Amino acid sequence: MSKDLALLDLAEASERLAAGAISSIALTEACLDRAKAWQASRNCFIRIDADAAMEAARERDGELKAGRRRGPLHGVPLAHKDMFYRHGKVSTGGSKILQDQVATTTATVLRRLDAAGAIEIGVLNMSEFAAGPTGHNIHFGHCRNAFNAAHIPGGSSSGSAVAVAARTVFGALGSDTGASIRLPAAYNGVTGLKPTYGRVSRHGAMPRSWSMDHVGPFGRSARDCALLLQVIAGHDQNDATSSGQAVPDYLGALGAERISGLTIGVADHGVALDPDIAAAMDESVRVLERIGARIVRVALPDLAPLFRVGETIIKGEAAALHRQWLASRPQDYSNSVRFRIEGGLFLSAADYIDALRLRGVMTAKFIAETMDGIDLLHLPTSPVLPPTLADSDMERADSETLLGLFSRLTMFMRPFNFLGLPAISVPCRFANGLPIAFQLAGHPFAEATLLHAADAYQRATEYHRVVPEL
Amino acid sequence: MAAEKGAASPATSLMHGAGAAGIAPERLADIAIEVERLSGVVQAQAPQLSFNDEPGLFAATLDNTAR
Repeated sequence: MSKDLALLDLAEASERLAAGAISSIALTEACLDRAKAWQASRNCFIRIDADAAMEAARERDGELKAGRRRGPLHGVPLAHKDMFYRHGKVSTGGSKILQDQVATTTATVLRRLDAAGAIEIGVLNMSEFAAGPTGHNIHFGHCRNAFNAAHIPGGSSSGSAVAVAARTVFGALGSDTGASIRLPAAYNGVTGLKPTYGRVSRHGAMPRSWSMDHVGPFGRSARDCALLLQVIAGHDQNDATSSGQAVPDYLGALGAERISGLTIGVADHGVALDPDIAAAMDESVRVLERIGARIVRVALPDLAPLFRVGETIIKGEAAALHRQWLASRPQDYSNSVRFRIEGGLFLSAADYIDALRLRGVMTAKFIAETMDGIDLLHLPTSPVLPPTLADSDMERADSETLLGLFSRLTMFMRPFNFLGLPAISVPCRFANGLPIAFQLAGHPFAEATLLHAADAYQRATEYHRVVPEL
Repeated sequence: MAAEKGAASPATSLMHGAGAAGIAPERLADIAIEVERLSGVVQAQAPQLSFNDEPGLFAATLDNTAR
């Protein structure tokens, strides 16, 4: 019985808790049982806090009995990428360097989840310093794909995607600097949303690149992502880059079977896709058309400059963040992460600043030209299926070959970090037992439109309901 | 590629730059290629910029085109 409870989705669990039909203790026990069972083969947690989670669950149940419901996540077990600071607790950032660092502040997103009543059952594995798209981690052990442990889960929010896919938690937060929510979401058959830059506060989230970091949710469905986004979105006086744009009613935008009135541009990207992925993209477009979308073809600009100018920003900022440790503790980084960061030490200030200046100009142009006349842009999340851990281990293989592979894995996602536009990854098929996903990108702050389309797609399909087997 | 690494002029200049301490010379050759590539892309795009374009244009663009 208790294990079945963990298979509910977040919205159902929240509703049943509020109605008194189930207890937070039962839900938390169910999640902890699954977390312990899956941890041995997938290593999606860095730490499981069973005692603290059960204590919090007892407290939430007591509050409900006393007539107090903190918010929409009251009593719901979650866990997050181990990079969101909580006062008095260690946030490792997946690194050796931060493994003993106790946080002196609490991330705004955690404060908001606490206020909504959520419980944390542990902290989740991730790529070291949120750098790396595979999920390898030499310090805490590699995280593994929920559907096939020989394959990568994708990164850098590897544990977030796997923990949600394995139904060990009802939702999770991650961060996305260049694909790090959407790629693992795609590779583990869950839904992942990178919001507009500024939609969600970054205060108290370990930085990788202040200008390109986006915090966002993983859910078992678009509806679950909407629930989480509703709680964490909005201006934060502790993050000067957070936007003052009003937060709409995301849940209110959901529930329709049809998306009539939406125009979706299908990207003519000219990239050779894995044949299974190409077939999945075609099928997903047919479904979106069947449920009412007007489909048009859209010519994409060359994505490489968006990718590379954005990479200049990431490398420059990451190098500034890590310069002192690169000099004093180089041996405490994995080779792959050190290699990714240290090039930024040699970029010129003028090139870095021009990259920041270009961001506004290129974003305005992309919105005015590519997004003109469409509500959403459809494209693959990744053009390739998840490789095996062995074939993508940068500590072992030729780094130049693998950097080429990594660029390919993330080529359709990174441009939207540079452009700051919201994008969601939606499961749409399986090939060789591994999930495939499409991506929808939207206009600035149009998360409600993204979630509406993804939710309607999920009402017409079952891919997001497939639960991996242990 | 080997010739590029061996040419060494960008790498040689990097060796004397701030931050080079602790980085192996052969790694500096790879970094030189990487930095040249990124710098080349930025500079190729730079003609789009006008004198008054500033980094803050990005956030303003998102806010002004919000849906």
